[in-house]
Amino acid sequence: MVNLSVKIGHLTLKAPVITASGTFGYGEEFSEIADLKRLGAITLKGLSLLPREGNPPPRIWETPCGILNSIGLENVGLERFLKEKLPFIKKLNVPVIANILGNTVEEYVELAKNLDGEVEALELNVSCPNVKKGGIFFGTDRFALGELISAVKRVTKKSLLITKLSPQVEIREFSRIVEDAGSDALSLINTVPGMAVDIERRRPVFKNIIAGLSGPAIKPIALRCVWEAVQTVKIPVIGMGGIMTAEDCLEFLIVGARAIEVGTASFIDPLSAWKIIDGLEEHLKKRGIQDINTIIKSLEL
Amino acid sequence: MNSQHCYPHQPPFPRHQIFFTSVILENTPLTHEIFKLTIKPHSEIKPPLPGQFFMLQVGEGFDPLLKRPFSLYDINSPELQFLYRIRGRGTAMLSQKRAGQIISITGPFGRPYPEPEKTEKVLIVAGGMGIASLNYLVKGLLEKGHTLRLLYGARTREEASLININSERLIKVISTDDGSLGKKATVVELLEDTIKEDLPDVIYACGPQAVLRAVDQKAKALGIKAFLSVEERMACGIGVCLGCVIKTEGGYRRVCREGPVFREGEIIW
Repeated sequence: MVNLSVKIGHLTLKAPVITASGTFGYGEEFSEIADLKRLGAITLKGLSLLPREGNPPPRIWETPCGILNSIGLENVGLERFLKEKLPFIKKLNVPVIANILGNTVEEYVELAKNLDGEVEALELNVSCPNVKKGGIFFGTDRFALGELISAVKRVTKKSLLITKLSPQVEIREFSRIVEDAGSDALSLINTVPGMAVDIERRRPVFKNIIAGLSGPAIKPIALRCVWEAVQTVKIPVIGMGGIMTAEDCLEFLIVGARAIEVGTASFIDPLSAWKIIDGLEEHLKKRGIQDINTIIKSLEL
Repeated sequence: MNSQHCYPHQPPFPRHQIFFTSVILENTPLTHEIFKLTIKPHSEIKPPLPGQFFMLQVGEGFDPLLKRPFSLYDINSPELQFLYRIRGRGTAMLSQKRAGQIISITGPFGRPYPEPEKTEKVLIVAGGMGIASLNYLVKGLLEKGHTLRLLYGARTREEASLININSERLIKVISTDDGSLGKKATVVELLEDTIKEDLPDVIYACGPQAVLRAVDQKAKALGIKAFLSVEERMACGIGVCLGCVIKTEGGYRRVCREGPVFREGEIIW
């Protein structure tokens, strides 16, 4: 047996594979088709204090090796989440990361207060390109980001605090801000802001004009961002962006990610996260490696 | 409401194999742009219900990245059949696949067409490629002993043969865009003619948005039930990406999960 378990702060993951926010709902759909217990953790759909209707269609647009999305963080809001979703989630027997988003510091703090200890970790979403207020404002403003993390950290006593960064900032500088402000871990990257045009109508495809690009098209960008982050901070880094296979996952681990998140891949094959875990196991066995941790940050320069 | 008892809100269909590979047995043109794809899954899958769909990989590798949703046209266990019209890059790539090639598939997904009561007068309205999903419904309902009237608006005589089911309990009324078979009319015109003479209790419809919208309006105006199968750009098919939503009276709803079959009066067009 090879060891695939890794530690992110005080949290132990069975495998360094986590499902990414917005690609896994609240776990309900996937719990019907596979054994969630094998996963390192699951990240829930972005949650806001009040329900959000999301953006009008079209919400997705395929691009070469990628998808632009403009979902707009449609979600049930905190109250219904606590009442209707959390009881089910708590029975899943897998570490749960709640991705939270607010328009103001107060909203983030309110969400964190209510969720602290209810889930294993909170992922601060400060990098969604698809909502107008809040969110990405915090992720791109040096001062606001530090203030936000410190404020949330003060009310987050039990759950691990993860901050999710956008690829559109200077990664070294912003990673340091995240660490200095007290975040327990860093996850990156969120989708890459992109755009598409309907040439017949000469209009943007998306009402919001800008949408978020994900999928294998962004993997090299993500890998570079993770590389810059691990060079800069001591807190654990969770890497994501276009990971489709165990080989992709290994690239991120070798560069220094303590774990990775699988997102768009789950749309193409819902069992991607499980297949990546199988692939990691096989990779280690074939090479006689006992522990995945010996692979992490093993990049030779 | 009585109709609620007739058609209980169905839980999501239980899934066995959700991701599976299949071998292509046949991928042949039926007209100059409509193909029939026959595949045989490598593993046993639970027989899907009429109205459910599968996501098919149209190319190789990561471009195009997403699978494409296709309703089931027919089943000859264990073989599954799909019907598609070449409309864009994805379907053009799919049409290049050859017998013997392997194709990866997810599904079955979505809420099926509910079964009508035996006493109900059933009208089926197919516009163009809508026949791809209604053909399997017609077959299923005939097997269960229902008597059906089908209105089918095809483009040409050639396309009209896509409904290949014959039964004394199936009354077919076919129109074509070019008048090469039946009346030169749209299926909406056929619908108007039909309901003047004989009002159905329930309508099942699939086709272009204009057809579904017309059926919806007629059903509402006449106070009859309708089940409309809609189409939307889709990424995951299982309900997690929230990419395929349509606006309904109850807010945005996922075509892949709450749909693809919606009730009359539900959709905000």
